[in-house]
Amino acid sequence: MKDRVRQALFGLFLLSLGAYTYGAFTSSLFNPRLADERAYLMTASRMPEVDAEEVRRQAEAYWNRYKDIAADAHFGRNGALGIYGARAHYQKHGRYEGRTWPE
Amino acid sequence: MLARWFFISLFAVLAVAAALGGLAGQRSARAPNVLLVTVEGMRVDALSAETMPNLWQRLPRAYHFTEHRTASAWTASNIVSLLTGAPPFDHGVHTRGNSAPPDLYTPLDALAAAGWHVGGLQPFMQVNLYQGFGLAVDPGRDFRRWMATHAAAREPFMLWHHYVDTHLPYAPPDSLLPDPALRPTGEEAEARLKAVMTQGAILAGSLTFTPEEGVYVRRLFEAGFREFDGWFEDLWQFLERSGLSRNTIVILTADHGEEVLERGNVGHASTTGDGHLHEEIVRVPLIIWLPDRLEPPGYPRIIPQMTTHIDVMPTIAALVGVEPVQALTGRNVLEPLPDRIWMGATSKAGFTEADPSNVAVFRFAAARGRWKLHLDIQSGEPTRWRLFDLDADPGEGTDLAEAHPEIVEELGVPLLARAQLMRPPHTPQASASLAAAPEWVFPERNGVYRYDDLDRFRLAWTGPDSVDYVIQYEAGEGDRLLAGELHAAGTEKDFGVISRRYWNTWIVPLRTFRLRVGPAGGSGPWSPWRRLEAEE
Repeated sequence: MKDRVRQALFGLFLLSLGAYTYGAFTSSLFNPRLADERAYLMTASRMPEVDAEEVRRQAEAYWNRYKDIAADAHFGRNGALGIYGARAHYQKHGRYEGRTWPE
Repeated sequence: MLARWFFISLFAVLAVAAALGGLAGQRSARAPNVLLVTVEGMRVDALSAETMPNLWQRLPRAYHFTEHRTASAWTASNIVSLLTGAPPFDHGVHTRGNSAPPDLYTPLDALAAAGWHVGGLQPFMQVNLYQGFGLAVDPGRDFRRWMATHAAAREPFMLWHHYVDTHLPYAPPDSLLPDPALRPTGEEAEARLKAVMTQGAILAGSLTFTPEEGVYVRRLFEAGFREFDGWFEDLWQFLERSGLSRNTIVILTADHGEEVLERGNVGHASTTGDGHLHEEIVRVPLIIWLPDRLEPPGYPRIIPQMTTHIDVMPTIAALVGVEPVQALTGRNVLEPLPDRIWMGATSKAGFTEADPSNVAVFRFAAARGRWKLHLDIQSGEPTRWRLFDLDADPGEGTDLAEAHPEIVEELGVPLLARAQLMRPPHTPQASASLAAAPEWVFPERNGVYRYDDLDRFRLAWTGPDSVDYVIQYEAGEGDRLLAGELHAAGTEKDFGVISRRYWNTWIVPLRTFRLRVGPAGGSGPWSPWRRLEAEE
């Protein structure tokens, strides 16, 4: 009786170990690509919600620093993207042009 | 001995729990997400390698339905069809203030009950038109973050996102303006083009464009889709980098198409007030990307069979394995499709009907193969039948109804039967009573408001929170006056944060607004009218 219980527990343990190993190898633990994706996902999930006041403050600082962008019809103060124009410019063009983003 | 057995048993239990936990995580991660993106006014011929190169290069991996048609001619009626699977004949959303009726079967509720987070995040989704069919609106939240949050928690989601920046006026950024060499010159030409770039609609007969100006207007229209193409590429990169693309069904279509001078208008039903179901309005793309494991083996990538908006929800239900309890009218488009008649219905002015409580003119259409029949009904009586041969006359210019009475009968009998049984508009009502009239909390004053004056786009008033309220509004002036109602549960209607572009496109052109709030049911007491003027 004792042997049967012991065998059953051992079998259960092996099954669990198999399931756990399968889970581990199909998770980000052993897969660098999945780990990268997971990190990106976690970063994206922690992005701040849109804070219009903060966006506006940063946009004003960027526009004050770069008058040519402030006057731009798309990315500027009166541009189509509004207060989001400054960051959009920085991400699309500014950082490649050596401009800096006001934190 | 006892201690040894205790620890062996505990270890076994913990091992099983860990394994089951891991497997459960795997399983929930495999429940596919759904992202439905609708693009304002994206008619089928806006999709080209030249206009949308990023999207175009993603097409070989997609299922592309090339004969897709909308169900109506204006946004909300079509969106309700997309998200309920019910045609306008059945859902009764025909103009502003309407909502899906309470007895309408709502597949989104079934999806939510099965564990999916069903959401819409854009402020305009707070209006009555998008209420009552299971869409949980959480306005102002960033949709990428929303998706990432649920995916990180391994919670499946279904998100509807509407890309609005292709709406009139066609004012693309300078970098996307059409080739200056194409721009007609002259004071009058400039004035007409400026109207297209600044006004919410161009009505037939109000301006006469030369052929060269017409070409330029078309280029302006397309420029909006080049901008959308950049947005789409950003979204694609997000899905790829986050790994969501491997577990997310992405469906791309349009709310409706757009008339670009084919019949003299620029716009669609809700802007021109002259809605119709011609091909430039109803033919839109339907493109579906699937995770590899959900791809139906051997199914063609390009599907030229007729499909329609009411097929989208049955397709989603089949893909995620949440079969609808009630049969839906549409079909799963990823299974072989039978030969069917397409039918559409629209109120003449869509959102901008002069009297939302009395929509007088409806337009209907039916199509099968090369033939398309249009029917107008005014005050319940058929007033006009028109038949077009789409193969010989894709612009629908030559009426063949008299020459082919047998086709008129074949398509017209079922169309008239559906039209005569069409569900009337449903406007939510509830009775409530208040001891005292509500007072406005926000906006706190009458007068001018600019975008920068508002952090959030919201309305708030005094009164008990447990009561349902109705907000009556009048917007615009003269011929463009819009009047209607919004319903709210509690003492606030919060539309969240809106973009400056949205403010300038949708709010500023109406300029003047009058608002008052009272208990639902309309018997009062009412708050004083709040008079607002919107400026850039």
